[in-house]
Amino acid sequence: MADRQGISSQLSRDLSLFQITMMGLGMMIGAGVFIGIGISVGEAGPGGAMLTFTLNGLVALFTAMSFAELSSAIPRAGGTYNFARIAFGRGTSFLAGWIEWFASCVAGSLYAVVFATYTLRFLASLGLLEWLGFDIDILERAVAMAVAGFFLYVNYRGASETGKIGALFTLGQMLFVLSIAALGIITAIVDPQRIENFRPFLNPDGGWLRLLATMGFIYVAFEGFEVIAQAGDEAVDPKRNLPKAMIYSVFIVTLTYVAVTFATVVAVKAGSEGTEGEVWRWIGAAGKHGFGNAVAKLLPTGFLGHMLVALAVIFSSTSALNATIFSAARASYALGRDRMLPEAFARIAAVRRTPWVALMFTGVIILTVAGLLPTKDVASCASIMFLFLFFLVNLCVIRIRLNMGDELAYGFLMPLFPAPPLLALICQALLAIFIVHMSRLAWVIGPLWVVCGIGIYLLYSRSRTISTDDEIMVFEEAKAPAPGACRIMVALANPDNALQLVQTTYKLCGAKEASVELLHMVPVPEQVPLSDAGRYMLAGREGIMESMLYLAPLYPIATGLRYCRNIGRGIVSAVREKKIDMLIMGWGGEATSGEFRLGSTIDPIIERSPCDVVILKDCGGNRTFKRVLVPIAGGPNGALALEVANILTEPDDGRITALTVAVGGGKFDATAFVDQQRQRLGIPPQRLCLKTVVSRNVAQAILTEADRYDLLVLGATRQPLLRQIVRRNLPERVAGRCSVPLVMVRASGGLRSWVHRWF
Amino acid sequence: MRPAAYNAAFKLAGWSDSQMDIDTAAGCAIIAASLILMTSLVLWSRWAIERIARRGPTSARRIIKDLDRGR
Repeated sequence: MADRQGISSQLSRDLSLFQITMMGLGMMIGAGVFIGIGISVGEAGPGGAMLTFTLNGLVALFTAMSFAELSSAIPRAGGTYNFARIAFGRGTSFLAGWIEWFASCVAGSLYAVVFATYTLRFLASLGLLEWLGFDIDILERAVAMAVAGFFLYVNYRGASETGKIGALFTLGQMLFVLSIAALGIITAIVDPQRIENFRPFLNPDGGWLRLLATMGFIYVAFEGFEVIAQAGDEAVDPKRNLPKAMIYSVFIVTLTYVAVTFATVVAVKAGSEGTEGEVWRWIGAAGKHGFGNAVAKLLPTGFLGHMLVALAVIFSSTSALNATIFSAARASYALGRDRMLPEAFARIAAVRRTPWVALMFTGVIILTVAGLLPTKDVASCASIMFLFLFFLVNLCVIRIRLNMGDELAYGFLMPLFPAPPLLALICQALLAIFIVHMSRLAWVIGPLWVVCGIGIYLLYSRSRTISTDDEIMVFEEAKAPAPGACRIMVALANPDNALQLVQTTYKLCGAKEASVELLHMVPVPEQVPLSDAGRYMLAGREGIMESMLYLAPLYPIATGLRYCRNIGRGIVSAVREKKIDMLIMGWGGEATSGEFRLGSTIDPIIERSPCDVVILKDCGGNRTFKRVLVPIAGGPNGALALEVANILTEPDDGRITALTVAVGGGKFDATAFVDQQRQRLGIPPQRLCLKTVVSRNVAQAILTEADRYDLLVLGATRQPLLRQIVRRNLPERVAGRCSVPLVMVRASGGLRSWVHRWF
Repeated sequence: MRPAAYNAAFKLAGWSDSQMDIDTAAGCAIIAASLILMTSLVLWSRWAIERIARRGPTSARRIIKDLDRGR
């Protein structure tokens, strides 16, 4: 970031991979697991609890991969709020910030409650509470609120632990948790009879369905890795280290949780002193104390066990509480700074330089939740909010990869895209639904918070939000006076060719009885401020005026001039926004580079536009097409190619030849396909004929044949994106080498178009 | 009737004389499969991050092409 004197200034990058991994681990092993184990063993059974942590780890890993991909491409502080703004715009980013704020607050309340529970439990083991004579429940609430209040004050003072001290702290926590796991495994080896504690594997009352409920309830134990995204400005080599740290931390924490759950179950010898009935029921009956009660039995003396567990939980919960308060206050501060919430939220204390208003409101939520809600409801509420938040992130990763994949420099790409984020979306939706079995209150509070957020955005934030540089902006727009049933957009990328393009599209517009939208996208380099973007508009405005001279007297016409950072994305965005049915644009026929087939602008448009796309090459001027060749291989693109060919071919003496190249063994029935299209389009038999040539080289056969025609109309490939990228496909190879005027078409429809309409 | 290997495997793991029920078998299989899948994803991700870092961060299109070549 350059300051006014032109001196470069930025945060020093001194957080290593180890430190940021520890940062994520420290947040995750933030005490949620300590109260979660006992409750999940009681709900899902001993094996069910292990399954809960394993499957949650897998779902969390899918989400961590989404975070990793996004952080590697956009390594800036801001996390989900930032990703949502880039992917979906201001409304969704407000919602992300709003959810993140509440999720962090509720997680903070949970950590305060866990601190209180385990501290008082330790004091009770010393007999101090009986001596004082306090009611334990009221005392727990009071201690939770006191510790939350203390850390709110610490945050107001501006104290925060540095990366190195934080890493050491987390290392200590990890060592403790891992030693519990190791003790449990050793105990099971020494006394294999304790494996019988896993019988029955699942809770007989409810079985597998209970598993989904506990998975949703315990999901909060996997919250925390997302804070790594916040370290984007301070991490060494962030494009490499941020994704690694996120993925490693989720993997390590999953293995740790599974091992600790195993240790908790085998820690208790059936029938030993102080236990009764089945071990898993005994652990489950203790609920949030289950983990502590069981693990205390792993150590030689009960007192030592209680003390070690209390110390570990106190360290974990306090460091996590401090971090979540910081994170919650920062989320609400960012909303205030961008005027999505009243500006007071961004007010900074004069002396301490901390956002005191944001902290105050954060404190109100944390103290209310910690003071009023039962522990199980607090945990469920935190889980449901994080499920909502992670749901948004998985949507963001899909949308950003599809829309901006060619513009961003990625340091990591997840494998098997889009399967991991889609699976995560499905699982998170299921888990959120099943939380209702653990806490109905969570299902009231969570959605209510989201609905309130939507209301605040619509009534307050939308009109006050500060716009940002990388959004697509409309400079001028004139609406069509009477829109027809069909909407055609003509994208005038090069104003010099505007007239040629419009003269050719004239026929298409006439045949479809369409209203026409002329759009000129103006690419403005990142370095140029918005205030200077107007100077790039002049040529586009001239092109549009010239085109309008021809089209305006005949068709309802609308015009648009838009600023964007990337033409392809800008055009696709306009097509979606205006619900366009057909997009027409020109192609210079320039040589393709390694990774693009037709060019860096046209390829993304063909891949992502949710409407029919028609690309014209050398079709300008007042050309007439009497002999038109249409290579066909079935499918919607072939059908659209024949339709477009029929429109562009001279009406009286024009001839269309549908060409198939037989390479042997093909099952395509060209005659039936042509007959079907002839009937559909009402083409007379003498106007459309079928020709079959036999050749092993399909591309060469089409090119040789095309030389004898006035126009070649090609359907684009319908192969999956990955295969298109890896291997250039036949239509694109033909288009690149074709010397006659060319029209390439891609039909809309099907799942892909539906996905692109929304993503 | 459960396969004999089924019970033998679990006797090795410490289960005593009784047979294993279907929930236990399915649960253990799911845990093992999930952990194997997680390990594979982590290792693949590490490989991909290192490979991308060596060639310099670039667009998704170029990375997919490069990773496909490197597989």
